[in-house]
Amino acid sequence: MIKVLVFLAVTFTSQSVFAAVLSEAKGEIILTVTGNISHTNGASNAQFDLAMLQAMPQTTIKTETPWTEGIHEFTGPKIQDLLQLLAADGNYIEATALNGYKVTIPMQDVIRHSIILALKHNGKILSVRRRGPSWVIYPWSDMELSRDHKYYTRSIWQVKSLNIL
Amino acid sequence: MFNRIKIIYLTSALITLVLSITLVTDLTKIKNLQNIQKTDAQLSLVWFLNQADREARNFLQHASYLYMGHQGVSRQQVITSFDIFWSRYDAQLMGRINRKLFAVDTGRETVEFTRKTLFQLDPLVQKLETGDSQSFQLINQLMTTHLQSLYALSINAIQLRSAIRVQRHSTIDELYFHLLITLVSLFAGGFMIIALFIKKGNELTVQNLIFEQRVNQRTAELYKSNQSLLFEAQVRKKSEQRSQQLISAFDQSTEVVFFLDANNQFIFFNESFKKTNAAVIESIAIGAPFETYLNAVMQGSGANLNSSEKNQWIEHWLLGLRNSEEFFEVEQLTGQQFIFNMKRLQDGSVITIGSDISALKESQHALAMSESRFRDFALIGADWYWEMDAELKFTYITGNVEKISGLPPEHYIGKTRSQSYTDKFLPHTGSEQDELRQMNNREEFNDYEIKTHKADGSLVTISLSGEPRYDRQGNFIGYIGAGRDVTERCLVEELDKRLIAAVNSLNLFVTIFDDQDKLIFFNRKFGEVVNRDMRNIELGMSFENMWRSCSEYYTQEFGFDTKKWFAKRLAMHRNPVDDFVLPLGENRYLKIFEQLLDDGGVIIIATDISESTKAGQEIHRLRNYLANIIDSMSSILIGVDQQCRITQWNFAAQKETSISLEEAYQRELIDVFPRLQTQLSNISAAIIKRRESSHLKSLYFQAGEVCYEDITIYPLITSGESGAVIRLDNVTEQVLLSEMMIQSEKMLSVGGLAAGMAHEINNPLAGMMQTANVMLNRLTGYTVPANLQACEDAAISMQSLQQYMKDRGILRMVNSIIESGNRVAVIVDNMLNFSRQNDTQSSEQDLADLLDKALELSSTDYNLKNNFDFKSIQITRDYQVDMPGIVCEPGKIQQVFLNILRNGAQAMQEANVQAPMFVLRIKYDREAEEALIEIEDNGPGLDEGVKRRIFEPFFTTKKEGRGTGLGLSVSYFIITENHSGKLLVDSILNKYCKFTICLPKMGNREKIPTRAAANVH
Repeated sequence: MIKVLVFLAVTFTSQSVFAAVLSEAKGEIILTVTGNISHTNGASNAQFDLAMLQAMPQTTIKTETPWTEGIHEFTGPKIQDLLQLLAADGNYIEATALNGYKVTIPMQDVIRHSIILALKHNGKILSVRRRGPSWVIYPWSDMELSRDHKYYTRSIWQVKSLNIL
Repeated sequence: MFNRIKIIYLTSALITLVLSITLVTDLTKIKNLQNIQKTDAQLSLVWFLNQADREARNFLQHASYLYMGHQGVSRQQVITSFDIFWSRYDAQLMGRINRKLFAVDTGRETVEFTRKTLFQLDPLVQKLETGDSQSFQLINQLMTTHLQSLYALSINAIQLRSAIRVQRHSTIDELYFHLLITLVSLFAGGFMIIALFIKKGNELTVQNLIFEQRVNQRTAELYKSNQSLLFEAQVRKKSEQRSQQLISAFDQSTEVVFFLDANNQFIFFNESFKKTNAAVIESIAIGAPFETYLNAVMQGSGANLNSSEKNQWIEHWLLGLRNSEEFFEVEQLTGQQFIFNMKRLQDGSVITIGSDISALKESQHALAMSESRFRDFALIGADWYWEMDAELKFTYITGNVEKISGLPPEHYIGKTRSQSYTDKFLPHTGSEQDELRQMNNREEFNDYEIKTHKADGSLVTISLSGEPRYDRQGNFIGYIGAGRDVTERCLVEELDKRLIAAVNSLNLFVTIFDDQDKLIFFNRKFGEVVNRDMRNIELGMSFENMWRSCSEYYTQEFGFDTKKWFAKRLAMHRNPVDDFVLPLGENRYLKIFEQLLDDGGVIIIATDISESTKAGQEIHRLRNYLANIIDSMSSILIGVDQQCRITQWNFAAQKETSISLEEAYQRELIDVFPRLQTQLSNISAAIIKRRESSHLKSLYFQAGEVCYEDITIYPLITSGESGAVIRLDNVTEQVLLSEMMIQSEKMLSVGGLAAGMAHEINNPLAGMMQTANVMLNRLTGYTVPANLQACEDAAISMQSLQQYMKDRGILRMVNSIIESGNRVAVIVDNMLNFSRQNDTQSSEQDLADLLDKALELSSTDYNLKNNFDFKSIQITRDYQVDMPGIVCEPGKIQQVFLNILRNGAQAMQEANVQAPMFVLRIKYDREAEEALIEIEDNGPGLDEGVKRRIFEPFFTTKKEGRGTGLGLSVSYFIITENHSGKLLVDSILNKYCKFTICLPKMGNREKIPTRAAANVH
């Protein structure tokens, strides 16, 4: 059994800066968050480019996945941090992929499993071809997760937008 | 049977084998099924193929839209949809899907082909633009090929899935079949084994029953034989026990026992027999002839008997044996007398039991001897001797019985004791019964006393002794006894008893010691006291020991001083001292009397005299008590006899005269108390007339002071002698106080009168003064128009009027009237101060400040009027530093100070004092909460008369016209009435005069509530 190793890579960018002001996205918008959020930078939504997401505290998960062989390394912000940043309040997250695929992730997954919105795979920025720009990653090596099929479907890739319900 | 068991084992083994194989097969099948399920359960290829197809078509759709220039589709969208399509086939991210795909026919080829296609498509997509038909055609072509291969792959995948399902179903079928076989074989094997076991069980039960029957039979047989053996052993054991018991009984018996057989040989002899014949023990043995034993005995007997006698003894024995005599008495050579009981049994053997009757013989002999001795002895000490038979009838009586009873011995023979009594000679009530009881019980009795009446009627006491007699067989055959006349001894004993009873009843301690100084008697009272808690004394102890015990008891009870008195009392023993009183402690006393007796003994009588001693002490205590009371009185008490000589003199008298009672006792009253000279006649008169007389407020001088005393004379008769008690009470204080009160009352009434008068005078005075002023105004007012008009009307000029009045001195007279009126007004004003009415307000003042100001004022005032240099008066101030503020009316207090200072200065000036001085003191008395102001001068002072009247209004010592006599009166009223204080004067003529002002701290308290009430309104 391979243990789950969770490394917290804490950047020194203060989170409170984001909390105070959500800056405008300067680059290509890779993620749009809508729904029940308090902080916005667009028309009642929050738009992020890659730099903004990477400026947040990054977490790395080393795990097996149902789609890959061996241990892989995924890095990106915790979804919980993202929601805190936006002062989001809700019970579910509706995530939509570039190809229109949609899943509903209960908020307790976010809290209990510290799932991340992976931006890097084995140290490389995820492109659309490599299922980027972002990919919801669960720590699969946790037995409880790997046993239950429902978590596979929630691990959506090529995430385009999140809607907080 | 063995074969059958083998079959069972073999069958079981076979069944186990079959079961194991089937179970293993089943498990394998289940595993297979699980694997198939797993394969099926992994990510479905359908999902992948579906998504891949969708994304490929999506890309193709976007590309075609772009190519056709369809609105709303950007190049970027095409690229993104291509990227999404690409991402589906990314080698790194396909992982497990790869493996699954490769398992399907054409899977590997399709994937590899698609990846190749993607690489071919990538540059085409990048450069694709609207209308670029070449690129689009290529894209379309490549995508069509891809979609076809993907379709083929989908078909293959579906087929594979179907194949897996079929495989699964067949596996489940097989598994079911195998399980069925397993179950059937399990049941079959189980049944077979159970059947075999049941069969085998039945066989074993039958065999067991047969075996059990055999065992039971065998056990019963064994039990029977065992029982008989046990019974036999028990019988043998019992018989052995019985023999042993018998032998042991014989051995323990003191009787001599031996058995002989028909040939007179020993079969058995006991321990007693062996012991008795210890000398010839060699001749005694089991099987030895009895005759051998007899011979041995005879041989051992020595030379006491000759041979014929020996033979005769042996013959006697053998004859006895032959006849088997029941009672065969024989004297052994040891001197022991034996009686043998012999019995010959049927088999010819003889059992012989012999008893040693030597002791019996001896006791018979001793009894006979004792009887004769008793008879002799009884006759020596007794007055008569008697014998009775078994029916207690006299058989013999002798001696002086006739002397006592008056009846001859013949009278008694053949009669019982009760039958022998006559009317004259009869027992005292109660005696007879006891005698009969003792004799009926066959008891021995000694000195049994009974009282009878003699023939002449006199009482006689008889002492009887007797003992029962028995024959050789131990049968009672009667009594023998003796009698004595003990009348005299009894009388002496009774007297003794009465004496002792008398001594015991005395409330004295009586002890008697013999010539050896041993305690031979102590009376009951003494015993009750000393032996109350424990046995302290007992008869036979020496005097010293008894006295030690008593001392310890007294110490414990009363705290007796042993050290002091133990030796003293011991020394006094046998050396009698008159009235020896022994203090026991706690006010208890014993008076001890000792008397030597003729026989060398001593009788000691101790009397408890505590009560009488206590009464004496009580009187003494009472006397002391009374003396203390008299001494503690503040009055002087003097007791005198008829000749006026001192008999009593209390402490107050001692203090007054400094003469002690001892010194004064029996001296003339006048010598020790001269100031009663004047009372001598009164004392004599009181004694003679026996009447009390009193003389109140009698005046006398002491240390130059006037003193008063009340003298009371009480006549007294003590022990028939006349005398008197004189009581002197010093009443100086009371007299002075009452005088002061009278003075104070007088002042108050005079003050009230003066104030009333002042009011009455004030009104007409005011009218008079006003009129005088108007007169002056009308006579001198040159400018007043009314005056001018009047002059004009009278035809005189103002000047001439002036001239006239000047010439006639009218204006001077009018001025004189006004001046006199003013003086009267001042007097009246002062007099008004006597009343309490006042409007001025009291406030807290610094007295030192007030006094200093008054001093300053008076000096100025005096200087002006009398040209007297006030500065020549030396002023000494003694003010207390922490003086609190005193509530008073400052103006009035100042006035008082001024009055006193002015009077003082005037007096000193008039007396022409060389070094005049004022001493001013201000103090505060915290307890009384009042301030004391003293103003003392060294002027001529005041005599008693002046001092007493000094505060009276209009009383003055000054020359006429110089003083109104109101200054100190006003001061007095200001202090006493307005301030509730005190104004006192103290003076000694030609030495000093001191005024003391006492002011309460809170001022006149009577005013406070009034003022408070006024403030409220």
